[in-house]
Amino acid sequence: MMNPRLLALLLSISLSLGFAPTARCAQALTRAELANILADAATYQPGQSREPFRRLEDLVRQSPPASRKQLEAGLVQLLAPTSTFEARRFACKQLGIIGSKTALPALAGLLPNEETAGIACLALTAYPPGKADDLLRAALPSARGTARLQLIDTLGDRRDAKAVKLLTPLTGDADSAIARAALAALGKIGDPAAWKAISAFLKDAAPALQPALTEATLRCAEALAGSGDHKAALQIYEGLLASAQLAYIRRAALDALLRLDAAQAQQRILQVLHGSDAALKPIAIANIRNLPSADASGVFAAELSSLPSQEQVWLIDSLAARGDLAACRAIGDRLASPDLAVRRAAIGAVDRVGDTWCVALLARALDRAPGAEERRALQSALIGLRGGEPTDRAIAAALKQASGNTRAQLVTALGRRAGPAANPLLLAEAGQPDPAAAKAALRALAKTATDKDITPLLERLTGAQDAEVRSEAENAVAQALPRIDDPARRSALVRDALGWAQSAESRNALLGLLPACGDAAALTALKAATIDSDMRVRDAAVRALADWPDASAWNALYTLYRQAATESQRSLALRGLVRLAGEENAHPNAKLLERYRQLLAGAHSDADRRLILGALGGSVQPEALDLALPLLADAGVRAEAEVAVKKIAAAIKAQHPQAAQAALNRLQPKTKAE
Amino acid sequence: MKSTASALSRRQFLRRATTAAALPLIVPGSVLGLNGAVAPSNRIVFGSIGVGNRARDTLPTFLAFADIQFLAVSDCRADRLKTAKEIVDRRYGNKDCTPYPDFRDLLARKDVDAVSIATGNRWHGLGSIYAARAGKDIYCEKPVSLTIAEGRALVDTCRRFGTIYQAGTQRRSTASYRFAVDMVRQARLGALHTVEMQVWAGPGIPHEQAVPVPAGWNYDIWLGQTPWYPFVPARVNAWQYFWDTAEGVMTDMGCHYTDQMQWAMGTDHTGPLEFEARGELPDPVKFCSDTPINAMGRCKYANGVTGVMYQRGAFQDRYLRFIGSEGWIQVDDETDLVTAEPKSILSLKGASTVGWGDASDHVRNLVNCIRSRTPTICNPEVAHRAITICQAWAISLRLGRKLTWDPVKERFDLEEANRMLYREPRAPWRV
Repeated sequence: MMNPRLLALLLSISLSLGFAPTARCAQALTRAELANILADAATYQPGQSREPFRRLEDLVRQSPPASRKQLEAGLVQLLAPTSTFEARRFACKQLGIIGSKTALPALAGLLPNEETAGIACLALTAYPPGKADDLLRAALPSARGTARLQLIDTLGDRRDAKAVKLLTPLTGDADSAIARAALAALGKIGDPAAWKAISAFLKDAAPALQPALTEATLRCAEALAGSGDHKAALQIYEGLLASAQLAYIRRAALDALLRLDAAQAQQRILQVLHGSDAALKPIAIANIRNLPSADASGVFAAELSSLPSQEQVWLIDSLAARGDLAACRAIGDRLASPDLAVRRAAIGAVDRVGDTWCVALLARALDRAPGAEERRALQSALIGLRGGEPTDRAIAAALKQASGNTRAQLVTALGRRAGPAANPLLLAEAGQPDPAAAKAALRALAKTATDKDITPLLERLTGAQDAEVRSEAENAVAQALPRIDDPARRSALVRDALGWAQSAESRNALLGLLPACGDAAALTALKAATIDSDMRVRDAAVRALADWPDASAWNALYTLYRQAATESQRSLALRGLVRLAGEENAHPNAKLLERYRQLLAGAHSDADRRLILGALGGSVQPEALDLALPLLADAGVRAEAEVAVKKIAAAIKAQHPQAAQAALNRLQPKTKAE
Repeated sequence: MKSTASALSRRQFLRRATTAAALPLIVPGSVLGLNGAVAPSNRIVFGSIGVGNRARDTLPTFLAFADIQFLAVSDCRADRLKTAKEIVDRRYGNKDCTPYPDFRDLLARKDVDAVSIATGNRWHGLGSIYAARAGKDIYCEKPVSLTIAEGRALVDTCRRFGTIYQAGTQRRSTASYRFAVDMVRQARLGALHTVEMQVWAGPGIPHEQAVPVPAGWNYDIWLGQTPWYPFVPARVNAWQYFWDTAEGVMTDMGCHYTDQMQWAMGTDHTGPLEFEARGELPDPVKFCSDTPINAMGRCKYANGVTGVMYQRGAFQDRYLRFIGSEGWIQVDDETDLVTAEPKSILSLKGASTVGWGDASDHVRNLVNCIRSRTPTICNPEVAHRAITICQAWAISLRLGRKLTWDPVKERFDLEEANRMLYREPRAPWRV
């Protein structure tokens, strides 16, 4: 290896012609500096700094064309055998970006060598047509091994038509790798001369060369078609359709024929459908969507019923892609198919192209549907139908003829489609004796009901005989009530309904809605209900009171806590109180502390105390520790008391460090260690 | 007083949640597929090419399908081949899976219908081309090509052979992303003007010296089309960060987001017209890697929409955001969380909980299309156009130039950039 300093000197001399650092370079370099960079680059091995390469990349990026000559000259010097392989590879990559004719001789010098042919071609491939191709062709006859392969591949990738004469004899090379490469290159070139060479080979090719020959043939067919010689291209594809070919080749040939020969495509597809080549049928059916003829949908719709199930599925998809009237009618007819897969495909297709006309078909399909999954799919298709209001009206009309699950699903679909516009019909359905339809209507109304629908909803609630219907009505009202901004109005509506509710069940449901109203009148009504003569009503009132949103219910709940008629009511009241206290932790005051004290004083059991400690732990008042700490001595609630103490201490630590630490000190040693 | 309009008992809330369920936006593939026993003659026989880390993530998804059967695996590393065979054999309770050190032998099998390709990036495009030539249908990990020209060759080859191909940009089959794209297409954000994407900062890979090729490696196949270089563990293990073998994070991961951008824009058969990118490259004194650590790419479509990709921050900070004149919607890729402004948009989202990590819908799409011979949701043209954006950014960054692109001719306005459209593969590997 040449002395690096000597190399640098030589490089410096070779760059001495007019090098002028420009303002665009990241750093103005002297000739010597550039020579040093190149000298360092020339010796690069993995593990070393890549800075010389980075500097050169920067120069490639930043140098204007005018100063590139010297840079290119330097890169050419890097191609010398005295440079490391890494350096030469780097140089080839950069010459691939900025290399000119100047670099060609040096690159050509790398071609005969198996080690460097690849990197030379990396650069040469990027050159424009012309001299680079001449060099590649000139190097081919004497190249051996992978160098030979590389040259053949590169000539093909460059589509060098002048290489056909050189490549043609190589298709018969004893080395099958060379023969395959030559065929591939000829296929890429694909001009008439290349096709002539390839087609001469067709009859006698060895099996090992068949794949390469087939690909080359396909490429030539594409080239012929691209140049306007459709007849020749069609001939090639017709030949490849022969049954002797592998299935994927026959499919590829058919696909190309259908694209290239639109006039005959419909007939070809019919022939395939009626024929016995199963491999071709999917691709034939897939291409139906592209047929330009206006009658194509009708023609193939007529084929549907004679096709096996899977082919019907594919054809339905193609018809849906066509989306014209004949296609849609055929799809609609398939909703009644006895075959599940076909029905599924038809439902999916209706989802894409269906319109008002589909409503009656879908409704009948709902009647027939054997399972929940299919009914859901049909419902989804109804929801997705195009056609806007006319479709909505068609669904409303179909409703009137339907019953049971079908009616329920039509109701659901209408609710999803029409939104609040459907509310009058939905309210009517909610009052129907059919519980399935009534529930579906109420579920829809939960989303769509406006404030003026609440009174009718309350009527449905109070009039419901079926418990599930009543529950849905309660839910619908609960979701609709917040759409009224004024709490007093919400409260008035519910309390009015309480006035006319006949059954205990409906009254209980209405009581459950009062917390969402949240005003004083609603609270008064609840309190009154807690002393109702009917125990079921009292229970419901206590339950609702426990859900009350703010502390205005405290006194009533506390009274129940201390004097409830049943343990369950007492327990409910305590839960409500604990929740309210916990919510009030964010607004600490003496009153809250007193409330915790009262709760603890009224506790009957460890379960009560544990519940209270859970909320107390959220306190941010140091005095809360005075309530929690004594409970450390109670084995039944010790664990919860410890948690509460720790949480309170953490919350008050910043403001009351001593109190916090003193509390923590009271915990057991093992707890402190944690 | 607390607002009673929003205060509901837990009982009421639970009841509301269970009775007001919306129909899912996507029906899981398992609901629509063939979950019962499938006759062997009806199964699609697969082979796996490249069975390293990524394949171990995706293989279970494929193996769960009753109408897919794996009979072969291939890798140039003997250790991975052994592990992969064990995984497949364990799934089927037999020893029928054949390992192939050379993927060409796998492709030569007439009984293999399709392949799943999860190699390093340098083999995605070329491996798919080989598979298409052999008549196999394909599932291939992204990015689908190493260069723009290779991507076009992939599209042409698949069309030539009628190959059914699914790119592994599975977010097109993911509920959160589909929802975001739907919102864009329904103009619920107003007029879209910006698509913002973020991927994570790349590493610098410290220098290492060359060592002998380890036993059990076919290094020639490992390199594939890449220009020969000695076996340097850092370069081999971190191949994602070298221009020769990949193009860094913006391409490797960014193509997921450019794919979404293309989908939302309806530009699957075209792309942006302008590109510019800049980045911070690794310190060459310390590091041998050459793809950016941080970077930013910007592109512009004919209709004025701008795409911006940031390469910065931590892995978990990646996201995609569509920004319109009246709002925005964002998908956080780490958590699959969708956020939006106005928030009311989110009420339209369906109930599916299937995230991008579950590729089963994506695979189901491929299986259905293999049978029907119709294009998949991430077919070659779609995938090629998406990765072209990232590759154009890489070219812009490496040349330090803003570029104008003709998406019909697939050429830049700058000749040096056009010289970077393609890299001649190292023989004997050919496009």
